Amino acid sequence: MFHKGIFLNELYRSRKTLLVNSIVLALLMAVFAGFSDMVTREDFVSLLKTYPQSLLEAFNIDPDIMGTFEGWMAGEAYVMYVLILGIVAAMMGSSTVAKEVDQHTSEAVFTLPVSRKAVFLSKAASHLMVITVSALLSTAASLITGFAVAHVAYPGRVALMFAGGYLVSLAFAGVGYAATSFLDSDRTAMSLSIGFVLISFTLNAFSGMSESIRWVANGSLFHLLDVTVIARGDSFPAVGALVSALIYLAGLFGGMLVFSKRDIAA
Amino acid sequence: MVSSECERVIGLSAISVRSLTKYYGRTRGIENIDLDVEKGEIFGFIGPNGAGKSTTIRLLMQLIFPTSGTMRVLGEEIRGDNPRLRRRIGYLPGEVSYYSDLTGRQLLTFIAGAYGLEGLGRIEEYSERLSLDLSKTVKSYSLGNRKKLALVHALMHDPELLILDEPTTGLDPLMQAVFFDMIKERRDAGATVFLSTHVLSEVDKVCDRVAIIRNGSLVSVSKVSEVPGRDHRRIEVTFKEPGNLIERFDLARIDPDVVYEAGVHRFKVSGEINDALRALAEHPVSDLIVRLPSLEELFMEFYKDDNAAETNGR
Ligand SMILES: Nc1ncnc2c1ncn2[C@@H]1O[C@H](COP(=O)(O)OP(=O)(O)OP(=O)(O)O)[C@@H](O)[C@H]1O
Ligand SMILES: [Mg+2]
Repeated sequence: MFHKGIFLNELYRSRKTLLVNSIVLALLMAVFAGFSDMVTREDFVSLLKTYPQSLLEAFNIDPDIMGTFEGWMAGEAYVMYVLILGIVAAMMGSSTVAKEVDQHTSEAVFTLPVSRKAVFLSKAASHLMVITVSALLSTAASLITGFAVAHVAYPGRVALMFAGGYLVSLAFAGVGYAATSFLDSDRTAMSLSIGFVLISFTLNAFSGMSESIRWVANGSLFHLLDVTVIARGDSFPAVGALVSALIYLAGLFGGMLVFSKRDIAA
Repeated sequence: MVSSECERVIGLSAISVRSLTKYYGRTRGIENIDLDVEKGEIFGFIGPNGAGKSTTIRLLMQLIFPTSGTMRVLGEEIRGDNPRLRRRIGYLPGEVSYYSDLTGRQLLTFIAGAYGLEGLGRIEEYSERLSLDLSKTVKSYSLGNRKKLALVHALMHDPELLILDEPTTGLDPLMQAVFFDMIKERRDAGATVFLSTHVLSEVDKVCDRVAIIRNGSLVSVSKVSEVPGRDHRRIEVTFKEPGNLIERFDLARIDPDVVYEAGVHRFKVSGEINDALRALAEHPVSDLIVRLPSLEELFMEFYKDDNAAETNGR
């Protein structure tokens, strides 16, 4: 079920994604962390409190926790982190088969004496590696910058928050794996991935605007895991984390089963 | 007795296909194909564009799965994904691309790893014979070089069965000759070769048997020397008298399909040619050629009939 050659080859082919995504995401998180001290000052927070509640909720801003490093990262940095990591994860997942078919490498690769399931899982293993490395680097960049220029009271909560976002991103990858066998163009796979993550994000943002449409958020993977809970130190949203992981695994194994039985487009 | 006969046939068959049918949604791929390719033969598979050659080949390679029917390859029935069986087959796809940012050597090393081969072994040897430079990236390869890469891929693990979809397109004549030497060597070593092609002189030169597929169905399977129409003589006559003489000499009694072209009258005659020669000799002849048709000629006519039939059908 695991083939080292396929894994390494896929990793080699993902090297640019790994490099660019890790650097961009880590830098972005460092910038957020670096700005946190300016934002968390008293006057800014009291200014925020004068904004209409619905607007604040739409942008996932909670003035009460905004005053802390953890709150700021959970409110603002987190969204960017999941958006970017989620899009990358969905793109890698959805291109697993689609890209090979699109580039006509499918004939050579899928006729190798490696089972289709092993090909699928080995490729997914390398995607997991890329996503994990990006997530770890982003967490590290946030904490290091935070310690250097801001006041980090609870580094554990920050790490947990990033771990939560990592699981949500994996859920996006899972959706990609479930879809990839039905796609025969890498371009389509990419646009669908971006579209899906953005729509997911938008649904979640809209639902914050009014109590009456809060149910809309249920259709969003962003809604799976409420990281402001972590920032407040109340608890870890274990159910959300579990559901995210399950969506990932279901997508992965479901996609693998579909792939092992489906015709490969010429 | 019948069953032991069957077993014997199955034992000797490298490929054995029964009532094989593949529909792509509602589009016909192939329909009810029965085919046996014996171990140790070079088997040609020909037919017009869209006839179903690649469909058959992709079914045999487990890339697609049949709508109905059965396939047995190297003694094993294909039921879904079977990597162990693929290990024994060398496949050359009709339309092939490889990861383009790898060098030829990196790519073949990756493939060799999947086949569980140690080191580069045959890869260097075959690449040298095909004058393929493995240090260049796949991206920089010409069409012919990509084809060579695919050939090395198909041959590197000394497979028992070679399944090749249009192997020679893109290769220059010199390389085609090298390629045919290579597959004949494999055959002499006991391997079976199943190849599709549009180049009929290839079939004539290397194949033991040939199957013709048309509109998704097999229309004939025979030894290359016994292809239908192969024993019909072609007679080309130039009379002393110029012009089209078909009506005046009543030449249609020799062959109702006689044609006149650039001063030459062309006949197709099956069986004895005495009667034809006698009839022709009634008039002053300046030149006369009697010959067997080339495979190319036979299939040109075959394909033309097919196109005509298709156009009429619409
Ligand atoms: N993926 C597909 N989806 C739908 N129809 C297909 C698909 N692949 C092949 N077909 C159809 O199946 C028929 C057989 O095609 P196939 O590719 O097997 O022909 P072929 O004999 O290999 O032709 P060529 O000489 O052009 O390579 C054609 O009518 C083709 O349009
Ligand atoms: Mg074809």
